[in-house]
Amino acid sequence: MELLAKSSFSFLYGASGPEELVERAAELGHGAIGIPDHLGFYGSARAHQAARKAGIRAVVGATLTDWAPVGGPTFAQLPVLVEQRKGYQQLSQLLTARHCAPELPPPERMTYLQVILTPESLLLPTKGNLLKAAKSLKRTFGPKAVSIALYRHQRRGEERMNRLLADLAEHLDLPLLASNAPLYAGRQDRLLGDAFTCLREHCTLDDAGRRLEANAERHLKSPTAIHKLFTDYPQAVRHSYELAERCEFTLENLGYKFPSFCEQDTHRLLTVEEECQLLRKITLQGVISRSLDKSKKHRQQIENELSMIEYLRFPGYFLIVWDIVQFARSQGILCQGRGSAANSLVCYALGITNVDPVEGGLLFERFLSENRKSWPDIDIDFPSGDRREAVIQYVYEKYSPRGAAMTANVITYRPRSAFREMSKVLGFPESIANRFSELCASPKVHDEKADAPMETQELSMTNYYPRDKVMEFAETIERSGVPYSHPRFEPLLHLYHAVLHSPRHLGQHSGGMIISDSGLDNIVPLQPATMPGRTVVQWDKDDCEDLGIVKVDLLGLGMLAAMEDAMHLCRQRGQPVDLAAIPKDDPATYDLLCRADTVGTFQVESRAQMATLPIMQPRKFYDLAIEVAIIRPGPIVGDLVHPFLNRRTGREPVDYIHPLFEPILKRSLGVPLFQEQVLRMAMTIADFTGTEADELRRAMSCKRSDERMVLVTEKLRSRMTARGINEAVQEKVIHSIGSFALYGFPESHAISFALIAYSSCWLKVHRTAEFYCGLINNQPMGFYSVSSLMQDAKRHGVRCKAACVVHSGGQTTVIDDGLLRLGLDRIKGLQQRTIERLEEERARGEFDSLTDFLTRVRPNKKERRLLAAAGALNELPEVGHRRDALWQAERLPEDDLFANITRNKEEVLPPMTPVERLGTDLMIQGHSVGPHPMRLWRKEHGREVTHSGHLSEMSHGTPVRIAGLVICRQRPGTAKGHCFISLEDEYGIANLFVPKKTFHANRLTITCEPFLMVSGHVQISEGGQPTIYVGRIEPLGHAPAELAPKSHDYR
Amino acid sequence: MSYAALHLPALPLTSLLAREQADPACPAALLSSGKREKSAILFLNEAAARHDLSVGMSTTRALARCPDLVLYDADPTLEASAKVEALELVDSFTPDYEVTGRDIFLLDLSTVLFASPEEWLQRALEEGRRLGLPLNLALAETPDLAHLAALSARTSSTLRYRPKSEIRISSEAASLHQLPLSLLGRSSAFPLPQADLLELWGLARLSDLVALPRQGLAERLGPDLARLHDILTGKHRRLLQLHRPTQGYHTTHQFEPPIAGIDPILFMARRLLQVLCQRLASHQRAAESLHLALSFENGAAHSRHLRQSEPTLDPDILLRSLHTHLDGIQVPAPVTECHFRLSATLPRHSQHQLFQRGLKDPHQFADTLKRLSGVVGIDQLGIPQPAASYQPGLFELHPLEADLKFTPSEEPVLPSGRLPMKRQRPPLAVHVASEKQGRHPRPLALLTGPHQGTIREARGPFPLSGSWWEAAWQQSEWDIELPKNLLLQVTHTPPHDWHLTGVYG
Repeated sequence: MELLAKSSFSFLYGASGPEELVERAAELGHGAIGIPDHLGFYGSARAHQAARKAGIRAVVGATLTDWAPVGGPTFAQLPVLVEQRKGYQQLSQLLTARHCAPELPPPERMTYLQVILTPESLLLPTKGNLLKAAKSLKRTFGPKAVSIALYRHQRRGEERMNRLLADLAEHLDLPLLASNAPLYAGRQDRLLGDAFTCLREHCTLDDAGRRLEANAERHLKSPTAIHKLFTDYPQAVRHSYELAERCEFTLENLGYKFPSFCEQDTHRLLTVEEECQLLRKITLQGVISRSLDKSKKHRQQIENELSMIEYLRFPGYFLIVWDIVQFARSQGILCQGRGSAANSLVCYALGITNVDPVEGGLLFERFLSENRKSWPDIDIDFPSGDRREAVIQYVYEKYSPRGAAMTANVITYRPRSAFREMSKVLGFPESIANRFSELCASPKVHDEKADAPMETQELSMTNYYPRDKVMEFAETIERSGVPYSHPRFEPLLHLYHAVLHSPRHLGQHSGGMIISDSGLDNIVPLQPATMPGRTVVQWDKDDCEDLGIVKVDLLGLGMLAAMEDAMHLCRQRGQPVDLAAIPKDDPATYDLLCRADTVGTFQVESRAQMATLPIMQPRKFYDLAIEVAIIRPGPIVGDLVHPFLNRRTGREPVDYIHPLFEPILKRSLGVPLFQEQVLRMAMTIADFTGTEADELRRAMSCKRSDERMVLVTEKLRSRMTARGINEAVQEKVIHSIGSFALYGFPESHAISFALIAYSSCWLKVHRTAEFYCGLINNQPMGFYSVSSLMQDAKRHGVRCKAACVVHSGGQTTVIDDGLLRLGLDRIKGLQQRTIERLEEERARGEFDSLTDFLTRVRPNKKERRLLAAAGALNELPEVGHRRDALWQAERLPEDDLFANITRNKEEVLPPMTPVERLGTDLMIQGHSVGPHPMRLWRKEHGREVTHSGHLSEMSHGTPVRIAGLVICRQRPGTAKGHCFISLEDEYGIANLFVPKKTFHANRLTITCEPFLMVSGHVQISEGGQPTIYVGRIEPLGHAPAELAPKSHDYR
Repeated sequence: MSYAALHLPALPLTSLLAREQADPACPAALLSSGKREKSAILFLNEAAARHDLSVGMSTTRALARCPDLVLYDADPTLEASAKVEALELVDSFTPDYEVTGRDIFLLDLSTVLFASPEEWLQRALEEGRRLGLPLNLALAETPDLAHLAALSARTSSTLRYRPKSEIRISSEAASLHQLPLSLLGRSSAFPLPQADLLELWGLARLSDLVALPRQGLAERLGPDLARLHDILTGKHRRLLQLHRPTQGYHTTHQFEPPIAGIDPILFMARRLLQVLCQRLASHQRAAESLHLALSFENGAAHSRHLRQSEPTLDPDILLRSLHTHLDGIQVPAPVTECHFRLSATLPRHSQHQLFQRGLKDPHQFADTLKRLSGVVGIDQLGIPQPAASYQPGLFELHPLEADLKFTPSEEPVLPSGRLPMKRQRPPLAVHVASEKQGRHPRPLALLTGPHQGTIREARGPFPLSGSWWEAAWQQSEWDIELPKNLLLQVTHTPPHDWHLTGVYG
């Protein structure tokens, strides 16, 4: 039995993942494995799941590092294993204290834990120190809780230490424990282990010397091998079995309980029965306020749902989410639930969601069913930024202390970081990694792990990576400066692939929160997040879900913030908008969607969406939900987009795969687009129960492994065969389901998103100025830069006036329906304090001169220059132009008797030319209210070059030469290596399609050049949208690079 | 025209191109070095500039525009030697000159006679050919104006090699103010910390700066800009900080006729070294090393750097090390010339401490070491220290200095066992009868070698491996006991090699 393994979650110590270790342990015949990672239970959730699958037991534990018990020496490493849940809770609290409050004294006594003194426990393991250490451990953990480990890594000199430890054990009557203390699963993983040692020690492999392992013996060994190694200490081997038996706690017995609802007035925790009553009461109030009480169907559904919630004893969960939403509403924060919650009428009645599921025909079982084991999933979108943070802090405060925390996000080695670290370890200069990062234009291309190397000779790496298999990657490495013939080329390739996707450090999830009313640190150790005021747990959201810990996703959505701001402006201007009340059949909004005029809107603004909209011709709300769902990797990879569009346009007959599917797939014309449809199909054709359907859902949405998917697909196939479904239909069903793996998109989610998408389009049509203003004030978000948004606004009759100290506020404001005034926050580098001071001073009285402005607002030197260069001082009296302001503002006003005497005005500097103004605007603000850079270029150099406004008039196949500013480069994984570029000019946006071959030939030009000149021919797509099929691509001559705002690339 | 400026444009790149005799038509660029920053172009040649490349552009962008671009990293040694040659050239024009920067020299021509500026420029550029590098030469009334003029090919006379060597004499000093303001950034002599602001002001040329009121400029940007204004308007004059090369402690003697043996050299050396030592003593310096160069009648040459154990001013000590060295060399032909150069350092004043004994005569010790190295070879002499590796028996030889200065590695390598072992160097190949046991065969009997017999007990294996990233090695060690209590260490190297690596006790 191996109890002292370390996984890659002991960052930079272990070289194999917990799953790998568990699988290997099971293969070797171990009945249990302990993986006490450094200072946490980071990998224990994954180990637990893997062990359950492999039919063995994962003993829970952690290694305390640099820790000293009361009156004892400091332990460099002290593995602690958990016997009982109480011990787990103590250890979890100890680890939390170690991370969050290291200054606190250690506990006097700890129980239900097993602690192991190892040869690596002390930095100076002398006889006296070991005796002192063992005694202190006995004192703290109890005499029956201490073991002494012997390691045999077949190194010279280790027997002396083993004899010392054996004598100590005999002297103190402590049991010996045989262990190999593995750092990796297999012998071949030692290479990565060595690389991690170098990263830890900040040295290269050449310099590491004896800091590396002497051999590759620290791998997981079979029970027989352990027996053989410790033939002279049979009692030590026996004790490992006894200890494993004794440490019976697994994460199955975590004891997590979702918190009860706390009544606001009395601060009393309600019983489940009281929660049921309260939920029923407020739901019925919501039913009335949403006018649902008149419909029998709605009343019946509410009753069904409430019964189900009461039966499953989930009312507290709904109340807690309702409470969060109530808080947000009370603060005037816009919020909307999404995910499967949108399938629930109760959530609609409680105001958590804004979609009526009965009207939309949504499947409640997708959200909650009798057979469902796990908690329902409620995600709530809030406006990103401070408003969402306010809600998060409310939750922290409500469940303080240590009752709420964010879930973790395990940051893994990605292509660039993997290459950088591994090349550093191999002694390559940093410039090679820099070059690789630059060349690695679309890192996903290199994100695939090569075939696992065969376990041949320990150190042989020949033929691990045949060149044809890693061609593109090998070429990138060669171009980075490491030739294929370099002796370290293959080690680099090997280490790169070995480390890819390994955990690197812990981050925090974007919005997932878990809560408990009995102290979350009893459940999982907490640690401080980088953001002040936040703590994170040591497990990611999948781990939490696997262990039945309910998570509430409080997500930030930039568009919600923009819409909220837009609505606020509408109210200010006397044209209030109630998003819940806007008509869902507004023809002007659908017209906008049909002509793909969707720049700046939610979800439908991407290039692919804009190409589909004219074909799709959405005319009702559900069409939009389909539009949102269809341009996703799932349907694209599954080749579902074209069949759907063909059927919609009548070019292809509707096929339901099987007559049984007609009611399920009718709305999507026989094409399964939503997760709910797939689940229903499985339930209909393969007799899947609700639980099995839920299993299928989880398999589809699990991002970590596709094994679950394989298992569930096999089950599906066998059931269909048993029901006599013919082979062709089976294939189609399996194919449809396979397409959803990783990218499953539930219908309720699509509807929630479609609601925001529709609202954003409605605002763009009917409140255009406020819409753009909201967008500009909430950047960065979406696909387009402020510059592109301003160009689009201009095309919609909304112009922007430059920021100025006389009129501008902190943020962009609406002057009238066709005019915005940019806010001072658009000037990068201007401090918020200065803006506030400016507004205060201006409120006291207008500035009567530049000197007056400088005296009262006191901007610093950098700010003075920024304001002057941006033209923000131009409207002050006595300021002629930007350069005049620059000249005047450079000298501080003198505080003397004659300060108010007007000086003779000297015009020393000439005004800026239009090109200079544009360049300065782009440098300082990233956008300009002046002409588009391409207009200036065209005037001088490109009269004969086509512009984007002409493309729609051209016929298919027309040769074309066009130039523009690159605003977006995309090379999605679904595009088979082809690249899509959006080129903006003063007339609009031209869409380019760069075939794979052309992309490879011009990769660097595409990646590095802000302006491009391309030649090709026009392709008119089905919806009448012109695209340029690019044949030749080159940098645009005479285009100054500084006239380029930032593009949106490869996201 | 009292001052001249000589500028070697893009010296770090041109020195590399000259060494490699690169085709001028081939685009080339020198890259910046830096830690995290992305590499960018620091210098480029004219061929590269024709591809619309510019200084500061990222390497990838430059490669996108010009895939054939040859990229170089800076070679400071080459640049330094080019600078030394340039100094010699400048020194041949006038002794009164200033080394203003790594690639610019200002010359005071007030004491130089020339018929006309053009004639001097022509002659100087002809002389400059021996550098083999492109250069700009400009004349002006003040040193700083000459400096500025030399920075641009438009305002200076030039020597270029495209495609063949070409001299162009310019008399366009008047156009100096038309030069771009960015030119100031090419020289550290004209610091312009406010360059961004000046750009915002729209100042593109030097004339734009000159046109600004000096007072207003000084009020806003301080005295540095006022000084620059004065330089550009010719109001600022300064004295050159004249370069004085450090005096050399070297001397050459030519033998007439050439001599065959070494005794005459030693005879001559005694006198020459005494003079050099006296010169050192007059500057409160001592000789750190002696550089000897001999030229032979057949055109061959011999040179050697003879480092002294400690700084000395005693010619006899120098002579002794010279004698030891000359004793060990074969003279291929009669010697025509000998050259001695002493490297100067501060003399050492040391006092032996009570508990710290130094060498009684470090020079004697150094002499002995030299004799030893003459016998065993220079690479075979030093202090052995176990290498920081698990590879058994691997050691590094640290150079042995005469003063016995030696810093052992930070991590001491301690023996892993208590018994001392006499290591067999090199390990002796032996035949071993073994049985297969897991990954490592177990030795049963030693069949060949000095110690043969059946193995009574074996402890091991102790597998060792390393350097998998370049020159992988692996082996496993066994400690074995033969009859008569003989303890040995044998090593197995896969697949079939066995070695006797040591005898315990």
